[in-house]
Amino acid sequence: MFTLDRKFFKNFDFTLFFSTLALMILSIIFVASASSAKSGNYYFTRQLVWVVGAVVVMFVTLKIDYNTFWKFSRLIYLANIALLLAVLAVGRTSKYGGTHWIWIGPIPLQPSEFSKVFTILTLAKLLVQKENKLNKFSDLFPVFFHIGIPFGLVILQGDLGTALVFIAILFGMLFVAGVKVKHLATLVGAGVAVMPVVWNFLKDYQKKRLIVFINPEMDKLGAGWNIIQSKIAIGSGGILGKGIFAGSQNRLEFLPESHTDFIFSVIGEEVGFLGSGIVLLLFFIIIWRGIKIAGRAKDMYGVLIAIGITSMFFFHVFENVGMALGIMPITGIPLPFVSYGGSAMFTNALSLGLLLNIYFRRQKIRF
Amino acid sequence: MLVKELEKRLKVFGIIAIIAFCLLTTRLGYLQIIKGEEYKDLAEGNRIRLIPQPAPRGLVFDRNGVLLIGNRPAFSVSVMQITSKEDFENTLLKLGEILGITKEEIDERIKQQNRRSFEPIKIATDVDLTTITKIEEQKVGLTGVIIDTEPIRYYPYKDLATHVLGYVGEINAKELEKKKQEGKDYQIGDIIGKMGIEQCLDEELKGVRGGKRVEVDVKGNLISTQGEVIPTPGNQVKLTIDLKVQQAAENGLVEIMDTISRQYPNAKTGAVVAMDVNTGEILALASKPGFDLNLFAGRMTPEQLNEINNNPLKPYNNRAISSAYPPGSTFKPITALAGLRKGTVTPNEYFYDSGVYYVGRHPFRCWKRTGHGSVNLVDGLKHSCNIVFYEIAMRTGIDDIAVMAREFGLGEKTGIILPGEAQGIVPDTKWKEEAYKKGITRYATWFKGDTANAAIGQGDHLYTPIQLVRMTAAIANGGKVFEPQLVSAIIDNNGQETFRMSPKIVKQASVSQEHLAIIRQGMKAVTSEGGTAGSAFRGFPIQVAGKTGTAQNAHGDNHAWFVGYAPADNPQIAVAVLVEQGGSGSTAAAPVARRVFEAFFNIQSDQAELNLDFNAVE
Repeated sequence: MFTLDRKFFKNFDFTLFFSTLALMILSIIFVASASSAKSGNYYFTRQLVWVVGAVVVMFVTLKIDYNTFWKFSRLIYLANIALLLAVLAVGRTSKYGGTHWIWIGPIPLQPSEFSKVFTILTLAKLLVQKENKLNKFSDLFPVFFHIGIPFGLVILQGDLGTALVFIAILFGMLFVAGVKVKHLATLVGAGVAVMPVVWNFLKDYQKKRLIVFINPEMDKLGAGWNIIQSKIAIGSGGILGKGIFAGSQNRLEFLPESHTDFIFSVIGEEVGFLGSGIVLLLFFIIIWRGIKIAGRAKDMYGVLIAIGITSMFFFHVFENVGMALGIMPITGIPLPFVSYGGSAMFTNALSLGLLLNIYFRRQKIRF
Repeated sequence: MLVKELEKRLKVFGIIAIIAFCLLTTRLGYLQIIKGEEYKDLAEGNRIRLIPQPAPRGLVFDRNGVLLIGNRPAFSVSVMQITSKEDFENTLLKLGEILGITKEEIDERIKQQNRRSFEPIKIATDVDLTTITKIEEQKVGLTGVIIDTEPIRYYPYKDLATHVLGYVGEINAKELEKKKQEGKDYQIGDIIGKMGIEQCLDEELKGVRGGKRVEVDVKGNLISTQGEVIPTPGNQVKLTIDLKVQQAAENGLVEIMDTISRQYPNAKTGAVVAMDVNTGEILALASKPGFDLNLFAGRMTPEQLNEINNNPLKPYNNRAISSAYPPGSTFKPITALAGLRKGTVTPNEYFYDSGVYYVGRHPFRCWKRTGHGSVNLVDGLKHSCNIVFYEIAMRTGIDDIAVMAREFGLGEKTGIILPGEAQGIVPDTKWKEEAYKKGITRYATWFKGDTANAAIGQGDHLYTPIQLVRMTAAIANGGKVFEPQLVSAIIDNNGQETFRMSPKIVKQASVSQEHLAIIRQGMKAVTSEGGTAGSAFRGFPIQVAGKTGTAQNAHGDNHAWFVGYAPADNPQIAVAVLVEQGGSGSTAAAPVARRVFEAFFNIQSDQAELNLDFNAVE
């Protein structure tokens, strides 16, 4: 597929790739640790398959010039919406009351995951077309409309976490696209203003999570239990941790959803400050490289795709780790490349492939 | 945009990222380095246990507020591994001895429940006080054994309305999978309804489980309760069933089966449905035999379970809605209505019954060999004379009769909420063609003989008792076909009604009131002196209208039917009675309906014995 010639070595972002690979290898280990006590090899083997598949996806994405997506923008947008509508039409409901899945034959798909990348790609094109034309606040309305449809469909699925990711992506991309800061501030103000209305639309379990975030003692058996147990797990890991496969909080199953949403708690317990600090560092490298790549992209389309993806990763990491540490409310979004799950893994691989892609075709001469 | 501005904004982005990661790292350090020791103690001493507390299921009442399903407190025994593996195994062995169950059974329970290690595993429910005392006495050697009380389902009337109420049991893997896919909150170990109202209203009845978060010491003794969520009891359900009518129906069935047992020893099963004529509310729904519902709620021995599972009379089967039977002569009103509507018969026309009717060269006989002589339509219903209906059917044709049957809701599910309703069959020419293709019938052509058979409810008709009671109610109320209602109201824990029954008319049969009046006149004659149910209702103070039926049964004695309503001139209640292999509708079914009417109208049954007239065989 690639000839490992000088051109490849010069253009490939090894730092970004190996940081990600390291996270994915850690993922296999900690998914195994988090799930083997109860489910044997099931999650471990599947995660291994996802990781191998993800690496393939990254290289395939790298191969296609990202400007190809420019041409297919309309098609991508329609596919995005069709998939999200399919969830509402034929989706399966999860145990928490949200409907996020559709089945393509025997394969379960979570379109809201893929939707994030699709939306980044199409929104990037829209913003490029509107470059230097976003002066008034009302100029932003077509942008809101563009993102509003997939955003609304994700909300209808009851997937609040992913909806928040959309907002993070929107802010990141608008900011870098040069939208006036006062417009962004207006947007924040509007968001705060509609908060009470949004509250009424939240499902009971979502309200509970927010109340519990403020006061975990209120619901010690339910959502509050998760926060308390996660903090005990991470805190008891100390500086060096209890050793992989040796976390009592994890192995005794005090930790809820330990192989998916709360995997960072397992890492914190088993490899301590040192280990989980390294994990945070790896994520920081990814985000740092993401910003750098945006800065060196050869065109505005590349800049915006890179920053959309970086915003997405950034929000995921901050929210997920913050939740495990008890400084963010529980929304149930996974830790990129680390949490168990095929749809998320492939979405992240696709995103990372795009970053590598943009860097690979960066501008050669700076002016 | 200027490259400079872009670079500035990317720089701001980078600074935000640095700040965010510093924040996370600081928090991580705070938890792990500064508070590390504290949390380590918490984790090591994490002898916090979650003890689930099942919610009491909602109470179920009859329409007058009489308790039909309640709860009683019972002891349960659970175990939790706190000590070493060996000590725990010893504890289990010892506990097994006291409870009288083997170690394998306990291991099986533990495996089944697959609980998280800080949740206790329930080993036995409904344990008697003597056994509990024994466990308490030996507490020292039984570390990790927890005795708790929990509410257990209680059915004060035992097997009454078995199929309406239903029983409960622990959720099985298949049910759990199904509920999870529907996105419902169910867990391993939950008690779930398996039949009847318990099943179809499970989500109303089950309530919300609670739990206690407790801290235990090394020996498993409770140190403190750190949090408790009080379980919310399930919603209360008020049925449309009237206890005394239900009892009358069931006792009536048992009584008649006993009385006729010498002549008809196979009459051991049957069904009764009683319906409010003007609302479709089900006042009684009985299917015999049933079984004591309490058996499933507590500890059931394998022998008791086998007895029910292997009973050849199939007590799980709800004969009132899940089995379809040929209706016999109870179908004759439909044949007559079809004829009246098509104008092929008038009320004043007289037919001559010589005892035999020829379709081509085939003789079709009246049940009375000597014939009824000269009869009109009303007499035909009164005496259940076959000849009249053969002739009407020949003139009318099967397809018009079938249309009328469907207009009265026959051959379709009534929509009652109970699970497992059968659809039944309205035979006509089209049906026979389809049936031939499927290999059910020998011929695709509908013969005139088929029409003759169908006219009197024999042949290929198959209807459920609930369909027939609905048809009867429709005849009584002017053609309104109701959806049967079984739930009168649902009341939540705040005493608020979350559901209130409202009558639902599925359709209106397009029959003229004059035609219906003729049928009703005939049905009134049935229960009068000389009618086929005359002796069964002799001396009954309220005028009843009805129709007897005797359905030929290839596998044994004939099935006995009676459908009717009362009072004849101001109908309130309709009843359908089926006694399988009961011989004849006049003797085996009509007396049961009398018992139901007695209960409904609060009439003292002054005769100890039912009026049985074995000569009036239809």
